[in-house]
Amino acid sequence: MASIQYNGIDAAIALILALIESNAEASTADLSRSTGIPRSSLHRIALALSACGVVERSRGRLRAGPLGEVLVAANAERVGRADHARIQRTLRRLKRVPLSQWPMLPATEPLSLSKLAVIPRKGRYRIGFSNASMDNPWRVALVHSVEYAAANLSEHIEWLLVRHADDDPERQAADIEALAEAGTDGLIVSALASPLVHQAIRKAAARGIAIVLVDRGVPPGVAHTSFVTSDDAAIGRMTALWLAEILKGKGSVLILPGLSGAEPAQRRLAAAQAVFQGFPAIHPLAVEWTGWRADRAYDIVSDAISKWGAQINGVWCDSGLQGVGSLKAFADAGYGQGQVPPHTGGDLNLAYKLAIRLHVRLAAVDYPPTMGMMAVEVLFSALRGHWVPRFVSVPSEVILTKGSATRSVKPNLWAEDHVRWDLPDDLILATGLGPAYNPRSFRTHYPGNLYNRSAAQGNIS
Amino acid sequence: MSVTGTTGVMAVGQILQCLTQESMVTVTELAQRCGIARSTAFDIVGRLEAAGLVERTAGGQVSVGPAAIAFGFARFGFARLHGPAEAVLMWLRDETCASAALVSGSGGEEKIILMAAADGRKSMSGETLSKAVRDASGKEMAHLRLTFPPGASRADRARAALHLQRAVDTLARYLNGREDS
Repeated sequence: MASIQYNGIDAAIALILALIESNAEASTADLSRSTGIPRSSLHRIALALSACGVVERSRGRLRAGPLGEVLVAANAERVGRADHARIQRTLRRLKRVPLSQWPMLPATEPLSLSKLAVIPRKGRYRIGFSNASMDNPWRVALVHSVEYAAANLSEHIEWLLVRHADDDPERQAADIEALAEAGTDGLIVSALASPLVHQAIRKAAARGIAIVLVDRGVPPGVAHTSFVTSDDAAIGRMTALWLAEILKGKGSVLILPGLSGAEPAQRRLAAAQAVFQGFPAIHPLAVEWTGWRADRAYDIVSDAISKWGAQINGVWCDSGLQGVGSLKAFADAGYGQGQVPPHTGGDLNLAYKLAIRLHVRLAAVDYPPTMGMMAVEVLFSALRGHWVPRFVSVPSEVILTKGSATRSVKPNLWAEDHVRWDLPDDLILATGLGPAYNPRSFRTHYPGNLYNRSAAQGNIS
Repeated sequence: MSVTGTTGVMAVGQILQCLTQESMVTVTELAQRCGIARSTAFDIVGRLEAAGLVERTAGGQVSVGPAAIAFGFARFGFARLHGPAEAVLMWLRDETCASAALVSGSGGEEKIILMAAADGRKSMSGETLSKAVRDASGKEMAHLRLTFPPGASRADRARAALHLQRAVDTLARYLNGREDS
């Protein structure tokens, strides 16, 4: 074997790394073999390191010494401080209901975790946000949530660049590539369902850019570090179950899901339809995609009222974004207070306002834009080399109008306490941006924006 | 192979010790505190950094690195849990609103290795629920403990137990080298 000079420092480091590999303890013979350090030299190194508590020696064996416990304690302090700071930034903004009151049982399979293979360069992080669309108030709230989180992490961020794809997959693919070219360390992506976008994400990930998906996922095989969303199946299931039960298991319902190409809408609809199938006397009159647009829902429901009138016993919407259109259609068709059939779908302040004004029984599980804030935090952790969950589900709440609880669906919050009469109709209620948040006057400062203007500005009417 | 002397070996230990007392110091400060030449300190820190035992910020401040934390976890026999444990504890705390801790040993010999405290609560007193993290042979290496806030209902605790089991199963995978890629 060729002779290799090992100075003491490298030998000490090699011994420490070997003890990690052996998970604390090994014989000097094994350590000598694994490190290539002669036993006599290993003995001298160990003697020196034991004086500092790095190793312990006994009867031909070496183990990690008491300094290991000090390192662990120091790490626990550091982690605790960082965690406390993170809680101040985020968890206080999340609404979490008592565990036993959340109707869905937790998953049981072990968590999947991920860690970046290559940690980006040192210094402040360059972050990009590629946003699929800005065509409704929820999208505005998502952008605000991301920007708010970036502002809280300003000292760690060199810039945040936000790009809106306006539902154009080619544009989103180009945005992702441009952000990658600009030197982004990490990307947050709310992805359009398109092979072009998936390919752009793959290429960015191949460059070592950390990818955190938010709101919408990607097919298996498209590399990403984490996916932050909320429980779409719960939204669909709980609202459908409520509607079926409030109708006492029989009646005809209009089903108005959101955007057909959007994964969250598909999941919610699938969960809702699975519930309705369990109630054979609940008859779906029609399933009409609304694009999460109030005007589209208005037209659909106006036609439905002309066709079916009083046969419509309930309306299932996965969000109040389109739900408000349905409520207005009933009101404009002459349905008075207490006459509009039960509806589902929240998120939007106006949905709650209309439901309360018209005395409509309503159930909703808001889809929280706080996921934008959480996505930034997950990305920040990943960029610092920490393990992160591959999937993060942001909590939500079941919201009912007063007196609307059913056998299986109880409220975590009454709509009458959730609504904000003092704030605009287009306010999304679960942003976590505080009680004074107003989408029309939202201002924020983070590295990369100008004059404290939000990147969502221009999309708020 | 041969090792030429143990010069600097003591300095390796001293630097790691020093970094447990002060989380962010410059190399010059390290040299002063350890009583070693500045050039030696730079040399050693460079090698420690390459091995992951220390980290340096862009501004040149030095702190304990991930490999050193893994070494600390190795002291307790679960080096592989360093990294995953932090992520799992944070997740468990976030899901259950209970404080979550990774604990080594038992009874009077217990040591809290890492903790994710429920908002505003530093104390680990309160009603608890623990489950063991076992190696492939079934030996208990550590346990995960939840400490519930006052007023947590039996139903909440029962639900939290499901999350706790999931966390334990996750850590057992990493402990036994069966993590997914």
